[in-house]
Amino acid sequence: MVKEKLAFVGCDSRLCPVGRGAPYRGKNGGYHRCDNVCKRCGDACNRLYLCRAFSGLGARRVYFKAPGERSGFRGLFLGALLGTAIHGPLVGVFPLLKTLLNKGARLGVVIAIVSTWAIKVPMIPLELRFFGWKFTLVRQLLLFASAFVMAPIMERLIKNVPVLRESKEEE
Amino acid sequence: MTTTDWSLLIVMAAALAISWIKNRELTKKAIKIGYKSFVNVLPFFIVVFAAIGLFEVLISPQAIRGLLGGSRGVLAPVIAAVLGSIASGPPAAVFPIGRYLLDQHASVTAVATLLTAWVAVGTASLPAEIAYMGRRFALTRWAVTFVFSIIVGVIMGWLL
Repeated sequence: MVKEKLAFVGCDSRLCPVGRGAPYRGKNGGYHRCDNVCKRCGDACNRLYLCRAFSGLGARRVYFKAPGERSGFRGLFLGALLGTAIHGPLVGVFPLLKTLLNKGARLGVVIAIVSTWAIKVPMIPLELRFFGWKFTLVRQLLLFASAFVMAPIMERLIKNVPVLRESKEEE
Repeated sequence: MTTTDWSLLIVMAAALAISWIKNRELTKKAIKIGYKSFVNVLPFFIVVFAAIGLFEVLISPQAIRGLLGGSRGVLAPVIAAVLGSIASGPPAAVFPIGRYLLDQHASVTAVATLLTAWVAVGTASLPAEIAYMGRRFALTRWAVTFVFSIIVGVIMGWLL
């Protein structure tokens, strides 16, 4: 089943984390589909961040698979990349993370997103200005790498992941 | 203006020029968004630089060295992590503070910890995180991130 293997942040109704509505095909396909998913999330922030993330990746139609429980390093890497692409207050990202967990995403992927969210790509020039290349590069690399250490630790600490997820009745 | 400033300005100008040639409308939109962000963060910057000016006068470099200097050992990054996790504000605001502390002989470990904790720990958003993700997730993440900000600082202090 899709849920077991993949949770999805993205634009195709077949893999939509929130529902299985008919895809909305507009002229500007990718954005409309993204918009469609985000409206279902019921949170304007989600729309903003998802669209920003996708536009940041430079693709209008992006299939972004946030892998499920059996994903390994690749899942964490994808989560870390998404976390790096997202910027803005952390509060706005929680609905997206909750949706991901509800749809079967691995807890580690969610942790990787939160960890690398601390990397603020637009702020890198400012950090360079104040601290120089070496400091900035090392700190950003360490922040990115920390996702791969924090995720397994958090997974061990929070063993009872299903508690985080809403039950089917609640959905 | 330093070499880094000029390099960044040239790169940014080139990126804008390429963007302008490719799509004028989107470039105008991007400039507007950038301007809005600048205006939004400006009041906070004024507060931060005013505070730095006050610190320069009121707090001696010896006091900062005593609190966040290398002689403090493990306590310096712990204090920095506490300060960074309590403080809330735009990430951009912490850079001048960090630079100021570094100039006043705070250790690299403490400054790197402060920067990381300020951005990553998110104490201010903890209630919202508890509401969305549950108490256990939120508190565990908070604690693990707090510890990791110290580890990042210690590694940076060791490397740089």
